[in-house]
Amino acid sequence: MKITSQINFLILVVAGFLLAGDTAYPLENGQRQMGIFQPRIYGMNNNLEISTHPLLFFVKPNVEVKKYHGEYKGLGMASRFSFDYPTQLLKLIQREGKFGILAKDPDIGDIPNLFVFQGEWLATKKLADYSITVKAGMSICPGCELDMRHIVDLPLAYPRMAVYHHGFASNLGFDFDYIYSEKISLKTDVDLFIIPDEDFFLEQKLMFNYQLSPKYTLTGGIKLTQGTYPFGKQLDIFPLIDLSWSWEK
Amino acid sequence: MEYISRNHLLLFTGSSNLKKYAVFLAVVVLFSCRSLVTTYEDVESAIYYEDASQESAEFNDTLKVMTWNIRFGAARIPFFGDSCGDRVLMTQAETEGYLNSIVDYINSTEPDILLLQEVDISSKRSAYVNQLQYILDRTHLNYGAYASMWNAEIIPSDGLGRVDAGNAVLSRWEITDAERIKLPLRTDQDALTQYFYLRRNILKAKIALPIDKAFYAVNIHATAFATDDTKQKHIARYKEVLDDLDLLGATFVTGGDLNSVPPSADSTDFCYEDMCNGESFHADANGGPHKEGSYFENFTEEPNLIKPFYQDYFPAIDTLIMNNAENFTHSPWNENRPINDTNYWDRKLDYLFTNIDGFSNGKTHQEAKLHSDHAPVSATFTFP
Repeated sequence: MKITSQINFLILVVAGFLLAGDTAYPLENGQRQMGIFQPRIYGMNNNLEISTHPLLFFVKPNVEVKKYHGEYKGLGMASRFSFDYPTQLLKLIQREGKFGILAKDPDIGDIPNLFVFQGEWLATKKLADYSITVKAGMSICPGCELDMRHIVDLPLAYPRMAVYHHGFASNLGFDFDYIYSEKISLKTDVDLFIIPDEDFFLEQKLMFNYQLSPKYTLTGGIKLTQGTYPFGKQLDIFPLIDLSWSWEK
Repeated sequence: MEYISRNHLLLFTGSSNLKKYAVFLAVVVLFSCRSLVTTYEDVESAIYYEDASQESAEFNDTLKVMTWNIRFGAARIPFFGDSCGDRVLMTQAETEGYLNSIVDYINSTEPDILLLQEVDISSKRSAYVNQLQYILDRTHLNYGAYASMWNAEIIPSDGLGRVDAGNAVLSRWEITDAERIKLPLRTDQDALTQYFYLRRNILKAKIALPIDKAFYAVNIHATAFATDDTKQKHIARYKEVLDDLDLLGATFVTGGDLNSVPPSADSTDFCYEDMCNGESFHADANGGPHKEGSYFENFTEEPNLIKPFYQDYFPAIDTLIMNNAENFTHSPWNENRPINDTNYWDRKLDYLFTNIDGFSNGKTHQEAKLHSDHAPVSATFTFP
């Protein structure tokens, strides 16, 4: 049971990275959205949007707040701030024997408290049947000097965990959303992760969304990642699939 | 334009040839699931290496051949898997420090052909140091061939992470034709463990010596921990490969870590010697359980597995002295064991053979106590 839980949590962590979408525009007040692998998003008043992974929350407390600031010269502007505390999750996967993802090596030591804060700025331009979003952000993890041997050297995980060691990272992104028909939309994006003393990591995504009903949407696509890991350069492609649903409060 | 929902699920009406993109995407998705573990064909090409700064190699009808299981450059650290320890991941400084002692030892013995087992190429446990390239760059050896026995993006056990480890043949002379020959998997494991477990092999490398006959170096690392008949299958396949070469009229030097004691060994049971705190063996009515890797009578003929090699080929360490204590090549102790212990080495698992009567000066290098949990074995091979 414990092992199954660990796998589920890992899937949630990774899938959240895989499927994340970006736009400056928040959900309307009272709107709710959630996916099997995506966080629960709450549209609030004052152009606020709050999101969190409810299941993951118990081992990796996380919250993200997006504030829409209005349109300037036709561009929707928003700022986004997030916090997460991965210590418990890392402790959960640090074990001896099967399903030990992090080593319990006495030379490395225990997982310290890690508080990660991220701030981002998003700008979206909406046109007739497509929209373009650009974003820039930075992450800080005050006092973090996690031993590099505790950083999981897998795609998606590595560039996001690197901040636990370096204490600082930044990111840039570009999103393109295209509306094909009433039921079908397409999304592609590029994200750049800039980590101190390391080469940058690039992630690209191409997704199709098919609206099964006004409430349910099926998502499928691919994600491409490339970067220089401690063992060398590597390029990976991941399939994406998810079911999301939205409703009003 | 019909605005239906927010976020990235904006829906509008429009038209274009989206089917092609959907088909393209489906094809890409289908082929995008890369396996976490590398699997192998029965026989495939090995991976070739070269020292960037080549040293000249003169051939004078003799070769010094050496085999050594270098324990992925972990020297005698108390590693979790094989020495009652709890270490898992070395730092780069640790790895290179231990590798430097191995390099120094190789340079002091000057083998012309070196068969290595447990060489890490890109493993988290040894700080991703490419140990084969590291050794080539710092010794007189110019060429290398590598066959991985454990290649996974992640081993989800004990925090091992990424692993690429295997067998290597290093040579002063060019390696022109090297094959990785697959050995059977253990059958005494559950499917998940087996999937992430070692995929052992024989590495057969043709060395371009200035002679008329074809000359091969063949390296093996047979299973250590199997409790079924996997070891028998490994040794049988190894013999088959050597017999084929012999039939073809080729000359070979061969060896490695066979994880088998010699025929007529004094002991086939090291369960007590290797026992860690909290472990218990031989408590059952049938004499079991036994410690994996420490018991050499899992099946009736296991103690005699090496016999055919002594019968059909020529050993570096002669039959008369193969069971002498000075030819023991392994002990699982970690750095806590006093190195002046007279019983420091307690079993022979490593061998060298050839198919023509050319070995002399066979030696078990027991003085190399702290570089690995195995001692190198070497001999001089003289061509007729």
